[in-house]
Amino acid sequence: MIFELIAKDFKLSQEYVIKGKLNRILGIIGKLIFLALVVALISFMTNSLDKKIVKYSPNYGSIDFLVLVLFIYFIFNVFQAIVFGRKMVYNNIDNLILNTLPISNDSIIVSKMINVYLRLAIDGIFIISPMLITYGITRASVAYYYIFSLIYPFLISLTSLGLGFIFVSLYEYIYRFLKNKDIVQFILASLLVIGLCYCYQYFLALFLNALEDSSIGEVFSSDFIETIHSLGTYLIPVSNIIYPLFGKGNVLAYALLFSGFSILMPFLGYFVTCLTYSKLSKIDSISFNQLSTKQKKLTGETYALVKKEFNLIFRNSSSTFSYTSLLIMLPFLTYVVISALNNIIFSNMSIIVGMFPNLANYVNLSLVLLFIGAINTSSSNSILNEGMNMNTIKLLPITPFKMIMIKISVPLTLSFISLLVSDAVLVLTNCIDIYLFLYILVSGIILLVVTSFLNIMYQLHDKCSYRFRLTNLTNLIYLGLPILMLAINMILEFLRMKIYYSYLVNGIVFIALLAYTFINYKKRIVRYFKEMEVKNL
Amino acid sequence: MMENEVKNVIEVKNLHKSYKDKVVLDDISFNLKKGEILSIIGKNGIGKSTTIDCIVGLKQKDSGKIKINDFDLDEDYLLAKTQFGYVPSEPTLYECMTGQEYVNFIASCYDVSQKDYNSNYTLLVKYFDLSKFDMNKRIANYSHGMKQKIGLIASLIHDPDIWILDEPTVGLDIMTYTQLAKLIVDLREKGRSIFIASHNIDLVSEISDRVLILNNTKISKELDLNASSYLRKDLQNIFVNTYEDRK
Repeated sequence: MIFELIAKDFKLSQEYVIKGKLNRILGIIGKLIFLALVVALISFMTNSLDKKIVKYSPNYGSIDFLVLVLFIYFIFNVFQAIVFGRKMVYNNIDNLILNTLPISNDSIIVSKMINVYLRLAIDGIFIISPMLITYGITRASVAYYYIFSLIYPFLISLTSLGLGFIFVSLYEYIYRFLKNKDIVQFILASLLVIGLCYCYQYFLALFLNALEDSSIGEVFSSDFIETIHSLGTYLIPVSNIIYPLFGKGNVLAYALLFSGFSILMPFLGYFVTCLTYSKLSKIDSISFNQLSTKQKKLTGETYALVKKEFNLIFRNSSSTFSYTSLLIMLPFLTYVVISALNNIIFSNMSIIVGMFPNLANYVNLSLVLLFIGAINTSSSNSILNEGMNMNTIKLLPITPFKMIMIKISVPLTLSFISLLVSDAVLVLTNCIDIYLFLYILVSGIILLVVTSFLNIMYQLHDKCSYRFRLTNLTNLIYLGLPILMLAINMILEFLRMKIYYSYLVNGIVFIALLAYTFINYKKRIVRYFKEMEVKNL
Repeated sequence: MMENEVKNVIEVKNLHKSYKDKVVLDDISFNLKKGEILSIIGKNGIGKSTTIDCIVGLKQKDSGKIKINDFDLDEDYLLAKTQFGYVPSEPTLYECMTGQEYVNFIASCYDVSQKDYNSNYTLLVKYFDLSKFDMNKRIANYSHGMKQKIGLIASLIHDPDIWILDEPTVGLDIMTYTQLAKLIVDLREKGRSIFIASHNIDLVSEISDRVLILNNTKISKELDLNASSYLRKDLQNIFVNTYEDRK
C-alpha cells in the first residue's frame, strides 16, 4: 500500500505532463544539463572560496566554513521538510479521499515522509556531495571520505526529515491560525523576502569576489573567521561528523553516532506526527479564527471592484508572496545589479566609457525596464485569478471597459510602486541622475501599461494561435524593447548626439507604442470580454 | 400592447446557438410574462443551461434577439443586466471573501442603496437560516449547501424584477429546498417573474405556471399548467413521453 501511496504522491507532484516522446526526452536532457551545471557551479564555488579562505586562516578557517555551510544547508533542509511535510500531510483534497479508504494513518504518514525524504536526498546528492568531494580532492583525502561524501546527503536528509516532521503539526496549527490574518501574512512575507534579499546580496558578493579572483577580506574578516571557529563545535549534528573526518576525533565512533542519530530522528518525527495527525486533520479551521461580526457598509462599484482585486491578490498566500517579492525584492535586486554593473563599467571599461560617456545611463535604463517588464508580465494574472468567478464578473451591470481597467489598474499600481521605489533607490544612491530617474519613471509606466494590456488580452482570448502570437508580442516588447532602446541609444551616442536627444527618440517610440496599443487594442479587449464564453458547471 | 395583456419581461426570439458543428438551440422562441414562473425542462445536456447562459449573457448567441424588460441584450446589455438576478447551478463565489463581503460586493456593483441593502440583507439571511457567524466565515470554509444559499442571497440582494435560476435545487437539503420553493412562490405573488431551468420534475410541477420542454434543439412542448390540473399531476409522464415519441 505504501508504494502505491508514494507513486500517487509522485504523480500529484508533477505540475504538468510533458506531451510527446521527443519533448520528454528533451526535458530529461535539459534537466541533466541543468544538474550538471549545478554540480559544476558548486564545485567551482567550493574550490575558489576554499583557496581564498585558506589564505586568511590556513589552519582551521576552511573546515569551519565548510561546517557552517553544511549546517546552514541542514537548517534549510529542516525548513524544507517542515514546509513540504505540512503540504503533503495536511493536503485537504488528498485527505478527503484517503480518509474514506481503508488505509491506516500510519501508512499515509510513512508514504508522505518517504516522499519528502526522497526530495531532500536527491537535492542533497547534487548539492552537498559535489561540495564535499571538491573539498576532499584539494586535501587528498582518504578513500572512505569520498564514500562518506556520497552517503552523507542520505543521512543528513534523514535527520532533517525527522526534525522537520516533529514540527509539521505545529506549523499546520500556526498556518491555520494565520490563514485569515491577511496583514500578518503580508508582514511575514515581507520579512521573509527582506531576509532572502539580504542572503542573496551576501552570497552574490561572495560569488562576484570568487569570480574576480580578488580579495575577500571585506567579506571575511579575521574576527568573523574566529567567530565561526568558536561556533563550529555547536553546529550539531554536522560538526560531529565533519571534524572527525579531518582528524578531530574518533571518526568511527562519531560516524556510528551520527548514523544512529540520523536513523532515530525519522522515527521521532513519525511518532509526533502520528500523535497529532488524526486530531488536527479533523479540527475545523474556523475554530482558530474569530472574525468580525459587524455589518459592513456598502461602497460604490469602483471601490468594491478594486477591493475585490486586492482580496484576490492578498488573500491568496502564493499571490501574497509574489507581490511582496515584487514590492520588496525588485527595488533591492535592481539596486544590487545596477550598482555592481556601474562599478564594473567605470572601473574595468574606462576605454569604452571614453567612447560612450553615457553607456552606464543607457545600460541602467534598459536593465530597469527589463526587470520591471518581466516581473509585471509574470505577476499580473488578473483574469486567471478569477477562475470560475468570471461568471460573476460577466453578469455584473458594469461596462466591460471599466471592469478591465480596474483589473489592470490594481496589479499595475503595485508594479508602479515597485518601479517608483526602485527608481528612487537608484537616484538616492547616486547610481543614476535625476533626469534618468524621471525618464525611467515615465517610460516604465508606459511599458507597464502596454504589457498589462497585452497580458489581459492574452488571458481573455480563447484561440490558441492568437494567444501564441500575443505571447510572442508581449515577450518581444518587454525583452526586445529595452534592448532596442539600448541599441538606438548607443548609435545616437556614437553619432555624438546629446543624451537628451536619445531620451527624445526613446520617448517618441514609447508614446507611439502606447498610442498604438490603446487605439488598436481597446475595442478588441472589450469585444473579447463580451465574447468570452464562461463555462457553466 | 393592450392594458389587460400581461407584459413580457423576457422575450427570446429565434435564438440559435451551436458549439462548432453541433447545434444546441435551433430557432428557440419564448416569452416570460410578468408575475409568472416559467420552467424549462429537458434531459441532461439538452441545452437548458445554454438557453439560460445566452439570456444572462454568459454565452454569445449565434443569432436571435433577447430582450429583458424591453432592454435589448445586445444594445442595452448593462441596463438589461440590472433587471435580473441569476443563480447558477454550481455556486461560483469568491472563496477568499466571507459570505457578507461577497453579498456586499454584489450589492455595491448593483448600486443598491444602504437602506435597501440593510433590509434585504437582514431579510434574506434570516429567511435562509444563516447566522451572523455563518456570514462572517470565509466562503472557502462553507459547505456546498451554504454556498448555494449565499448565491441565492446575492442574486436577490438588489431586489430584481426577474429571477433566473439554473438547477437551483442541486445540493440543497430538504429544509432549504422547501424554503426555496416557498420563496419562489412568494416572489411570484409580489409580481416578480421567475425563470427556472431544472430537471427536478417535482419542483417544476409544484410551482410553475408554464413549462417548456426542450428536446432535439427545439422547444417541443409548451404546457400551461394552470390550464389543467392533469398537466400538473402528470408532468413526469408527459416529459418521458416527449422523449420516447422522438425515438
